[in-house]
Amino acid sequence: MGKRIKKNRRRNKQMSVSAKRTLNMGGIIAILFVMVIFNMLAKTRAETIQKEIGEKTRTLERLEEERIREDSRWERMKSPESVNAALLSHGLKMNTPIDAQIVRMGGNRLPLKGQLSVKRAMAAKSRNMVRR
Amino acid sequence: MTRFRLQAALLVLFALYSGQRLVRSHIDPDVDDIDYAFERELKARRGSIYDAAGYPLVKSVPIWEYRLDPVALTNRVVRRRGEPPRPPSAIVKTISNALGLDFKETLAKAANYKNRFQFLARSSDSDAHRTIADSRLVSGVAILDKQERQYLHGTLMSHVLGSINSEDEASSGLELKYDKFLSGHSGRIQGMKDAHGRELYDKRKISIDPIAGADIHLTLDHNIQYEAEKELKAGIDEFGAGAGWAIVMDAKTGAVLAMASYPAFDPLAFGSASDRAKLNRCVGYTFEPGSVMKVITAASAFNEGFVRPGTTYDTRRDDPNYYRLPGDGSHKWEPRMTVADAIVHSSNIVIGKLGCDFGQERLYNYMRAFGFGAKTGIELPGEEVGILHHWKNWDKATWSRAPIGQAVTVTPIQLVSAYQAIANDGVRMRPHLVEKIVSSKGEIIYQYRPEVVSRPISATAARAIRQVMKPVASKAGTARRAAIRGYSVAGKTGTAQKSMGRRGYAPGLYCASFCGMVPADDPAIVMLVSLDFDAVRPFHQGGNSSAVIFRRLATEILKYLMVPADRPDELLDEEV
Repeated sequence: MGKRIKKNRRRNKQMSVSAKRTLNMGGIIAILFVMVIFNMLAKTRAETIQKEIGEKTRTLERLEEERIREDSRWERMKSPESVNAALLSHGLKMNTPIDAQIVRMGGNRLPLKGQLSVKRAMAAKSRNMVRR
Repeated sequence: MTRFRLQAALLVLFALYSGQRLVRSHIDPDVDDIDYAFERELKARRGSIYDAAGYPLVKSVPIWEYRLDPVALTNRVVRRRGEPPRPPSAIVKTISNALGLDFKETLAKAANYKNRFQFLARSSDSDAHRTIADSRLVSGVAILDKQERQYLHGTLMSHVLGSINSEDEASSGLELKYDKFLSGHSGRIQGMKDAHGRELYDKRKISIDPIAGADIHLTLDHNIQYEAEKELKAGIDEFGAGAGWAIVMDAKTGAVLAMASYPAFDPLAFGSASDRAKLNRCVGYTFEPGSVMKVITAASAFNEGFVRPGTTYDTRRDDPNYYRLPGDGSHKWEPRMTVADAIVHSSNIVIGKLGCDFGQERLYNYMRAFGFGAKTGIELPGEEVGILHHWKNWDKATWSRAPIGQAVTVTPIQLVSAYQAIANDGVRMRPHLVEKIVSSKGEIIYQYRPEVVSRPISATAARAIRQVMKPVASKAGTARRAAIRGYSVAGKTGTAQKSMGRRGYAPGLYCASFCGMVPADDPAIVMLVSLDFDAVRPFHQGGNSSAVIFRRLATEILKYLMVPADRPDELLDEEV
């Protein structure tokens, strides 16, 4: 009787040890599985973000290149030779103003004396005053 | 028990495999994908060149190069369901319209199946690119991304800016001189591609961004440069010269505002340009300056107190005290003439005698102090030194020839620099073109600081010689056509015979110059205009040709720079 009980106890003990081992192993595997799944999800997310970044980088580069091209086109259009050519195509010619058309200002923000433009303006003003 | 062990073994294997994949995916992800590996060099964008006001003169612009593959012309056009296929002629029509090509020529290229990837065009037109890249309209056109160096003002200032060849190697001008700053540093990408050849961004191993080249900011003003080149070209055509040059310099700082040399070349066709056109005469050409040198002789003598403007000289050529005096090209003959009059009327005999009396050693030292016989150090390649032999090597004839600008050769930039010293009260500043160099990150790598090169004469002597030079541009002087309404001009003409080396001077061929400064009392600009006549022409004198160009150009520049008139009374007489 006593021997049998002892045997059963040993057997039960062995069985409980196996169950614990299986449980531990299962837990590790489950953790590994979760890790793998998490890794896959993270990787997929990272890839999506990288693709997005890649696309946005390409768009930025494209727009930057577009800006450089447009800047260049605009600079060409407003160069003195292009402006002159454009005016000539409409029968116009650009000249620097003659002195009668220039008003030179002094440091006090008043026209400098003795200028033809100022003299003409004064003369015109006095004529108008006479007419009145 | 056996079943349990089997399960455990399988789980361990699974765990090991998963662990190994995890480790590999993080440590060496591409070990199995060597076939899809690629490495690419990222070319750095070349730096731009700007003028003094910040306007771009040269830029590297991304463009597209289109190449036609006749084999793939039709079979890859993507059509919607029910849409009829596009015939080759329709595709070619789309291509030729978009790129502005001749339809028949493009069609002929499309029919030539033996020759694949034929060059079609290079273009920066985005609309054209969208059309060509539309797979529903066009196929069989390979599009390559390229960088093109664009010279925004065409041939304007081509000698200064220089050029780069088709291999992106600098050939001349500032492009060559500052190549190491402009070119930048290339980047590199090492990574993976998918089966379609698209890069997998998450598999990039190495990613080194290129560093764009630095930008160069010049002292040149593109508006002044345009006027200079326009007036020079007009003058050359009007007076029948073969070549010419003009330099405009800031009188106070030595900054070059314009530098024009004719003939010019197209920077995009540097390889096919003639050597004559490629030569920047402003720095790479030497010539006997002729009478413009008389001012240097007189200024040196004034500085030493050796003579005064009123000191008189006998104008006889057969003077036994002097050895073989030069023939007199003076516009006025008097038995005795003051030094001031000798400048105004350009007397060879008087200035020749003055030079002989002044002494070769002193004159040589002054010429060196004015910058002759040495490079000015301007930031352009190919600068010439000119010929100024040591005074001990001068023969007896040179004693009287050097003071009048013969037996010495100078570059135009040396001459302008010497006159700048006179304009700046005797202080010669280093002539310069580059104001600053700015890196692609906006850091200033180099900033020009005004540098005094020499002080050949005192301020008193400089003012005295400027007063003497004033009447040159008057009715009494040799350059009445250089007179500018409202402004006093101090300048000097030069009509130098062209040397043929040991064979003497070429009969009838001259180099006509006018070098001057405006306003005379407080100069804002110093300017040299020279015409090189390679045929006999009626208006070959500096006073008749170069002086005219000087007046036209200076008038425009003074207005543009808003320099106040120092003779406003003259403007009151102007009729509108």
